[in-house]
Amino acid sequence: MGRKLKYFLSSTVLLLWSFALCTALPKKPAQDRMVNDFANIFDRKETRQLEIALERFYQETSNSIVVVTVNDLEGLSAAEYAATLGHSWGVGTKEHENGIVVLIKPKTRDSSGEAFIATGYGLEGAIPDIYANRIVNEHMIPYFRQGDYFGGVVEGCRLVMALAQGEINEVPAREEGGSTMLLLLALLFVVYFVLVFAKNKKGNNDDFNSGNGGNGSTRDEDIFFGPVIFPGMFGGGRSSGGGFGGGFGGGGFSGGFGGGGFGGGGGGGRW
Amino acid sequence: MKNSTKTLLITSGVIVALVLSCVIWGIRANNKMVTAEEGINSAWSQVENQYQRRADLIPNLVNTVKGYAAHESGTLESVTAARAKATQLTVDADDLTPEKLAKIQKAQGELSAALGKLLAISENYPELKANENFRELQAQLEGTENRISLERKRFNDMTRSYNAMIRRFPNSIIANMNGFEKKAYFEAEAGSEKAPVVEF
Repeated sequence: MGRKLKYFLSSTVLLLWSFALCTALPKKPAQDRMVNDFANIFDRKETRQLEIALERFYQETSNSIVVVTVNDLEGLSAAEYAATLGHSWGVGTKEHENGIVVLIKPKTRDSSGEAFIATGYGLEGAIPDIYANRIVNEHMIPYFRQGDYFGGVVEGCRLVMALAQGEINEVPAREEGGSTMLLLLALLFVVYFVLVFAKNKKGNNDDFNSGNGGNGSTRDEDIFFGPVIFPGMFGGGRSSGGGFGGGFGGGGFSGGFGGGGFGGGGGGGRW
Repeated sequence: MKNSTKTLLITSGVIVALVLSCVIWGIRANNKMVTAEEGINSAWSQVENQYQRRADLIPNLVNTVKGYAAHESGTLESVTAARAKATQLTVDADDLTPEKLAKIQKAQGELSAALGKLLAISENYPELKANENFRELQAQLEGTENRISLERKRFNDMTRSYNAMIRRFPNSIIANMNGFEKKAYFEAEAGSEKAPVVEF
């Protein structure tokens, strides 16, 4: 079932791709998804963990970080690809233009790996190119070299979050309407999560620790994933629209693609 | 008699409606072209901004390199000269003829080439490469090159779609009437316009 769905989704993406030949970039997903793993380098649990963490970050600060993995840069440089994609998807809010695209092209037998963190116009000050550059080259690529894509992305996102938070830090404006429905959904979600949590408690923690490699810093883990396993949703209906999609792996992320612009800022590297 | 008046009224009504809808369509088409033109103008100023940003980085870069590689004066001078030439050439978007654009492209391309050479030379100076200031400038330069290529691409895309719009029938009628002309864009150039590769 899951595999079939995945197959269906990926073939849909491929189909959309062929329609979008003029730009040669993947089409904006129907739902605003924070993790778009076109290269299939994360497993489902990793994708979910990342999505929840990024969605939560968006809910708290309005900065949207979108992770995109592709196998082919369509002849563009990583910088161009990331900025063009972020711009056409409109990552970030229109008001702050605070989107970030973390692009990863995994290493293959006959091409080197490339990674780039593209910053939206509004975050070029908070994350100067040189910082983005260092994050990629000194903190992400060491993981990627060992084939640990998840670990590298987690580390990169964590650092990007810390920087972005210093600049724009506000709860994004929420869409109006449907509050009782949302509350109900939130309740359902909480119940679902309690169940999932109770079931996976041990596994989740262990998995994450091993995913983080020999980092050994518990503080970091807490910042990034500690609150994720206990998502903020327990605090009430506040985040209801938000974290929802993560848990169900598909339905209705609340936002993050608000029309932000990208002008080529950021930094990256290859390995 | 009565009947023919009615026919006349209907006919003239239909004609008025047709003319009116034509006029409305014309105004709309005109406004669309004006908007597109404005978009191109602002895209062009973005391109020039980024060129300027690169030019602003260069004196600092040259000075930093000078401190470590003073006897590469030939390369340093050629960068400074190319910068001076490139910054002299700025054109208003309204005045952007293919010739002027080609000139700008050539001057900026020469500056890119000179910069690429300078960065290649800096590879031979480990102390320079380790210099914090130099590394920072390199990263900024690389970021600026990315921005330039992106803004150029946007400018080109907008110009191309504008050119297609004004030449397509029936828009072409309005374009001819109101003097909307085909606009110039950057030609793909082999090699010289390629951003210098900055390795870390």
